[in-house]
Amino acid sequence: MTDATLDARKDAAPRHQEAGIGDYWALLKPRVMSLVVFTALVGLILAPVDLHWVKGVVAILCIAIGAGASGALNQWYDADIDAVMARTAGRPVPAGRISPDAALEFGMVLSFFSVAAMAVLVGYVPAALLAFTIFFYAVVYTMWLKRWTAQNIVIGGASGALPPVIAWSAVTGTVDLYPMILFAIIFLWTPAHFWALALVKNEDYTRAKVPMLPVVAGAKATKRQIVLYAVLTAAAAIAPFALGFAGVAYATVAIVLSLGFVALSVRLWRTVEGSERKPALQLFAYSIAYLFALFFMAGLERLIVGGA
Amino acid sequence: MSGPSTKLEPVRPLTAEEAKARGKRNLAVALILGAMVIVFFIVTLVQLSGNVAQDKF
Repeated sequence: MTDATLDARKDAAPRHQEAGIGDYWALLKPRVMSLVVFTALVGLILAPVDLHWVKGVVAILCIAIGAGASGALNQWYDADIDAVMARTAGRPVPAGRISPDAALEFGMVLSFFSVAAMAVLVGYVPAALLAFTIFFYAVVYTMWLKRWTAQNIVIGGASGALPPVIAWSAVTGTVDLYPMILFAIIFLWTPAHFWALALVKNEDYTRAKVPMLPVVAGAKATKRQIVLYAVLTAAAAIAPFALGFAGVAYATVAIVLSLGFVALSVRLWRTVEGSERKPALQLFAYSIAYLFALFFMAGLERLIVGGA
Repeated sequence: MSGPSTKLEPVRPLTAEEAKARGKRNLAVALILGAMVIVFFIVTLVQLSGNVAQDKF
């Protein structure tokens, strides 16, 4: 980190006030946390053995707190970027409601307690995976990839894809092929999801000097990559059925919704340059519903039909 | 002891609003710590005796 970056981070919060509970809650990135909790819950349901419900609740709590800790550490480090982007300027650190030091301490304390509690109360394998996830998001993605390469969210997406794997390991104590497929679905989904938003927020990222793909390679190349990742996501989404882990109900939903995902990405690709806003936002919104629906169906089918 | 002199900035008293926000935050921390103790206790019971609660996922 350069002195200039450090100075910018300090300048991002020139007048620190007493923060409210809501500010600390915002530091946890609750919307991201909700997706993490949901995918982890499905990972827990899909695992082939029973876990005492108390330990299941604790595992999900630890994953949620660990995800929140990553968000706090991300907002500590990225305060200089967040301050110049319209989408993020109102976050507690750049807005001066929480000092960067307080955000760092909050993130570190939560990281420690979430991993320690997971290790003591649930198991060492999920604890190790949770620690790796926090490290990957806060250090590898936030501190290194985000400011360095246009592949930032492709590689960094691994941290967002790990929660169902952590949850699975909380139940079984190990990692299997099925959770790796769940990992692949989220991992391959992330670029198409995030680049759709980046296309719309291109000016923000350009001003903040973040090398997102639309900033570095332009809209045309980004749209082509979105189609590619949408197709790969669709293939991964159908894999649980093709490999015998999921049934016909899941397959039907996965095929129909994946076709919609690919169709929307192709529509965005065919859009004239400069008029991507509407189709990109539609793809972004659809992608969230798409991922929720895939995991919801996988979990629901398992609860109703039982193990594959 | 000689060393680089450090200037301590005068501590600004909290406004009523800030004191209220700090009080709420302190209460939240206390509740979270209390909840953690309860969670550790319950999970310890579960681990020590598998038949304390039979409900499964």
